[in-house]
Amino acid sequence: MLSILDREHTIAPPGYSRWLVPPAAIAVQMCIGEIYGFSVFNLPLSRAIGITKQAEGDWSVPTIVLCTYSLGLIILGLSAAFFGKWVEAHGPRKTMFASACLFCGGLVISSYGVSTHSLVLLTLGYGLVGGIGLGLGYIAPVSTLVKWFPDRPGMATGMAIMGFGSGAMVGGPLGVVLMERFRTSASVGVSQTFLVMAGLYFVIMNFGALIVRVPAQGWKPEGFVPATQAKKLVTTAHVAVDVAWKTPQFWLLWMVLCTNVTAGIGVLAQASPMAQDMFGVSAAVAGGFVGFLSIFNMAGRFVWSSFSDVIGRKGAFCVYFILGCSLYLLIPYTQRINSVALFVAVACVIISMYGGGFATTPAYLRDIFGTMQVGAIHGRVITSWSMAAVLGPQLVTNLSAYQKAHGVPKVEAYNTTMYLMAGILLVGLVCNLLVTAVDTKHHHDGAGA
Amino acid sequence: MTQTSQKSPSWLVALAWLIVAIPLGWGLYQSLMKSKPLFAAPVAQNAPAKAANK
Repeated sequence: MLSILDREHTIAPPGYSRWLVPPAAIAVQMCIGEIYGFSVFNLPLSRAIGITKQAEGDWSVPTIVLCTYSLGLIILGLSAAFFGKWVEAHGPRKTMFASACLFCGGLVISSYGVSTHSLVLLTLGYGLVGGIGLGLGYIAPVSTLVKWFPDRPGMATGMAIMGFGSGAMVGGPLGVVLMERFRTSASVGVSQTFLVMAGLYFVIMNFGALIVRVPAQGWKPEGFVPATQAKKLVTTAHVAVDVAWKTPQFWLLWMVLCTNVTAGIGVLAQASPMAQDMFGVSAAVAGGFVGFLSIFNMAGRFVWSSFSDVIGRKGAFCVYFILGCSLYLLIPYTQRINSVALFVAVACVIISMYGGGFATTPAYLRDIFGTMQVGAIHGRVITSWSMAAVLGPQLVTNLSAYQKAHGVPKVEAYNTTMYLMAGILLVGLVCNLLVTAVDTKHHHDGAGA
Repeated sequence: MTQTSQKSPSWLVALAWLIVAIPLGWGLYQSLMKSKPLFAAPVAQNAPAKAANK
């Protein structure tokens, strides 16, 4: 019965529209992207016993964040790296189904953990089991999309990764609405919310699994003519994942993604306090700023990655790093002239490129290593994201807190962080500029570029 | 590869996109509503002084 999940049963028949594949990817990514909106549960979970306030035995917010969000992202990276070859071998449908079972199963376990006030079950559910579902779901569509869209791989992967970026925009408000529905004088409503979300996400993710297809061997888009003149940084060969990760190109791209993510976190991790401390705006306005940033985070994934189809991946990342560095250096100036509008504009562009970097990376990997195992290679590269996502916020928030604790005026306490982010982006720029074509000796079966 | 009479119907493609567009659109609407204070509020009444502000 489960053979319907096998890769062989997902080969598209003649005439199958490739435009059915992005919605499949978006469906899965939008659900697992909920992790970015998990913060709406932090406060309620910290009052699971006290309901209206923290009581003895309640979990602290840092503990909750560590056991759910942080652990989930760490496991996402590790499982994407570990299971990458399995994903390539078994195809997107089985992977998406497995992702649905694990991510939603993790929510169910977490629900039980919340209702029994078991931190172990909450951690096991959302952090571990859910984290594996996250990793599988994140890399599931990559390889498939670059094969369906050889003419526009940036646009294709941009659509999928945009779906992940939208996860917080959908999951955050959904969580709030459901908690309000289920909250009583004896319950913060989180346990029931997790259950409902598990059910909804399971249906949506399996919708994606149902409609996804892989192109038949030798399929090409109608009218597509592969470039006759070889491009130095767009290979026609393939590199196996076990070979790829030993090449200098792999580690340079690992650093490219790591620096891009870390720099974006420089704004994301403290957007609200930055706006309040630097410009004196209210918490409500700062919240509005955070909401506005999320739109640019999502849009940047599609826009910048599509743009990379025009100027190339190396060129696109040069834009992210050079423009990003310049904009970070501009932020202290926006405070000096007290321009909230300029600050918002600068932050939005920075965040758009944070998203753009995520979405451009799979296409970059396709260009350097070919399509054969690009999903598995992507899985190993995104361990850099895991590291940056956990260490980055610690770095930026502790740095500004240190500044404030040592007498630096609040309005200037973020300047050092901004300069540090600019420096990190310069490191990323150097790494990007050093990327070259992979030596032909690494090509699969010695096929030439 | 030539297309055959079994080309995916346009309505199916549109439906698939609609299924993901609805929650995406709802999420985008929620974010825009959350962003409203950013545009509704006047610029900070008291611009933070550069002097020490512990």
